[in-house]
Amino acid sequence: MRLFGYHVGLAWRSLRRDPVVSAIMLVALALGNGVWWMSLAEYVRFSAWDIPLAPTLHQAELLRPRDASAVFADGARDNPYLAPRAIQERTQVSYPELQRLQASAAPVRQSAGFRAEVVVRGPDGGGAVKIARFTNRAFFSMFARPFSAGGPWPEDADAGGAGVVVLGRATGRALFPRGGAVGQTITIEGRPFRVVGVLAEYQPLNAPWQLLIIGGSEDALFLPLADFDALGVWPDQPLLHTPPESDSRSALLRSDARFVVSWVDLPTPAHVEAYRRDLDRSFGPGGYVLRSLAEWRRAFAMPTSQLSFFSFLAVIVLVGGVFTLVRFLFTKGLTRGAELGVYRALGAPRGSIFARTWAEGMLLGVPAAVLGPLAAQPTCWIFNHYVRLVDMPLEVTAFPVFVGIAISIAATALGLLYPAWRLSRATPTVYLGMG
Amino acid sequence: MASSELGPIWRSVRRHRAFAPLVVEVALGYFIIGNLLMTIGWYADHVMPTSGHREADVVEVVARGPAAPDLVGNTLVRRQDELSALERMPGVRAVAAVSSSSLDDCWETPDTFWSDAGAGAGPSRCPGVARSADGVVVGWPVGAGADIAKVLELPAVEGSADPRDGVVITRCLRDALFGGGTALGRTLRSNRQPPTRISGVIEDVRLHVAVLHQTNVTAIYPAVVGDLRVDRFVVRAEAGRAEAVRAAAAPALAGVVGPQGLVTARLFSEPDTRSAGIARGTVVLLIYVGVLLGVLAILGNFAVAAFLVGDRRRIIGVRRALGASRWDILRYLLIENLLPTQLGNLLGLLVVLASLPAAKLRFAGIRFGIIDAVATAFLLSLGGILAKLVPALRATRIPPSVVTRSL
Repeated sequence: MRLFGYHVGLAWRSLRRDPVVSAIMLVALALGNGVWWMSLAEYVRFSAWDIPLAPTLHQAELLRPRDASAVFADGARDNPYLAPRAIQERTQVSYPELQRLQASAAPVRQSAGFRAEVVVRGPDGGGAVKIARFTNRAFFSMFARPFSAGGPWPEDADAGGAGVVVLGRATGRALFPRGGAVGQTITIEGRPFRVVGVLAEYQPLNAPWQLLIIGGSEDALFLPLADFDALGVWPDQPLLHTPPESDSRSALLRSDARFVVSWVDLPTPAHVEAYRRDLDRSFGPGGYVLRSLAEWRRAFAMPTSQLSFFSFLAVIVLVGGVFTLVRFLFTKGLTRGAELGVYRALGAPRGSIFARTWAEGMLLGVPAAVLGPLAAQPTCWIFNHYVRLVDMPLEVTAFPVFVGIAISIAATALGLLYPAWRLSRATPTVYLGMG
Repeated sequence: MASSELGPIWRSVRRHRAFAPLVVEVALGYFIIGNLLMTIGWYADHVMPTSGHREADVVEVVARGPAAPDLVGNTLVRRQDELSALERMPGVRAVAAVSSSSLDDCWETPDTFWSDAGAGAGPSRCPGVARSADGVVVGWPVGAGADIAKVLELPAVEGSADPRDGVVITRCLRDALFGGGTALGRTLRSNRQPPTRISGVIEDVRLHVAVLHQTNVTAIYPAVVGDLRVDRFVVRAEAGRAEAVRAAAAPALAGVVGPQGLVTARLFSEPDTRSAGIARGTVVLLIYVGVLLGVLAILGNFAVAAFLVGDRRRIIGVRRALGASRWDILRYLLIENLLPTQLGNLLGLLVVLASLPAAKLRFAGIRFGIIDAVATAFLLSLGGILAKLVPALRATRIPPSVVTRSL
């Protein structure tokens, strides 16, 4: 450790001996890191890794007898087209089931919600169809949604009729590009609603409060659940088990169609036990599976998808980049074998050669890793402007930047062990064998 | 190049320890580029499969009326008023209400279909369409008004293409459920609709967005169900008048939907849909990433090649002293690089083929054709040559006298 600066100095001088080649290597590695980082950033925003959720959150999966819809469970996990639907089936409940779940007083917090299309008119009067999430105030704290302005609606607004709305980030920007949304009034389904808050962050694509809304746009607006009836809107994409008795909205709400996601906060084992007792009463002892957040994450891990394929390809790009650096140092070391021999003959221990080679690689690998998010910007621009999967652009945020750089540096450090070890085995007599 | 020259070059390759990592590196490159080419081809094919019906002169109109909770009767009256208003427009030949169309921006969820015949109806005869052990097929339901067959000019295979008398299914759904036998008069069951008698079979049409599961498995039901605030129509215009009909649709319906309503109309142009845009954008992105990785590979290879050539100054000097021309040296160095590159290509090809089942799981019907295989090998070989070219050209300038300098 005492000689760390000395070895880094030697490594730096070695790189400066071939400045053009070293610079080319740095650029190549930064480009590779850019591809890796962009893919990681998309994966992170899909998987919602960066949202700190309370481990005391729980969700109950309500079991139903095997029927036509249950066919999805058979081979669905292996089918990327059906796996999301199969997961949705298991993480959502019907409207009557929600009312039975909400009858329990055991949870300290409960959040329920679903999506529905609404017609929104902003200050300019132009109408647009947006996706609204009908939920309750607890949603914002349970899922750690930060606000850029204002906050959630007051507690009593959960009862409905208060005419309040929270805007998602993209919608807040679209309707009020100059800011100042809080306190303004917008029209939803022809009725006035006062904006009480605007969210600060885009939501993950696979949000825990509505798993696998693949290709789905942002929850543009958040409205109290109780306003759902008054607005007369329809739930978005209900998952029907059996045909409703009629085409009416009330028949749909009475049916077993699943479209609501319900979460509860059970901070102590006593709360869990009390909730289980309530579930036993409502759904029977074998009629549900209650999972903690950790169990839920294991049970509903992201299924096989095209995204996972591209993420794997990006990991191969990262490995390929490290491999190129390893080969570069290895080749460089072999071509300078005579110098290594001279060092060894003059008394340099193997550790010295090891440290110098490793440090030389890190002097290229670390800046390349740090430059990765920067090198990814053109790729992100193409992704946001051409692919436009959803209405939320892919952005540089702290979590993927930190994780991407850390993984890249760790992979480089690990990969460099081989050429450093291999070259440190040079014997003092190697110089005689050169030529 | 005489074949006798390959032996010494190959021995030279085998002797140098830096070439083995090159083989692995090229194999990694082959895996990445090969998979990129495959997926680019897949997305390009899926930009939008043809709908199967005549799209020219068709306009889609969506009318959103004010919320009318649970007033099914009122909604149906409004829908009929909208239909009549559209039919009265100049240039309109036929109009049909539909629950969804292939222009939808919303990614619907699939339904399950099965019949009383169950799994005993023989194997599915629709290539690529899966049926579960209990005879259930995953597909897409559409509700449509009486004139849907007229508007979309749906070609009937069996019975009638008009869904007024029952449900009309596509040929693929029939073949999947009934193994190619007749479907007329049988009952179609689903998780969304009550049991309905099958009144007709039509040629495959895709009424939903691309990049989804077996979109040619479709059932057209006679009732348009769903959000009662939203009425969706497909309109067949007279030849060449689609744009005029599109422009006039919103004013024509304004009186019916009222001031709080919203009417949108667009030409039935599937390439303009969101899903087609996503697929096209993905192709652009993948091509850009492919080019980027190609540049990366060339730069990385160039850096390594610069040292490799530097390492061989004496050998090159000896060859020059023994009479080798500059061209001989250039050729020697390029071939020396190409040999391990081809080994890497071969190794990469094997890895790609081994991983193909995993890719097929994520991209239904993806193929790694001979063109993809050759193109990948060609691109990597070209990259290798480009990376080596500058160092090799510099090496040709090494004079024979360099041999004597280290003595």
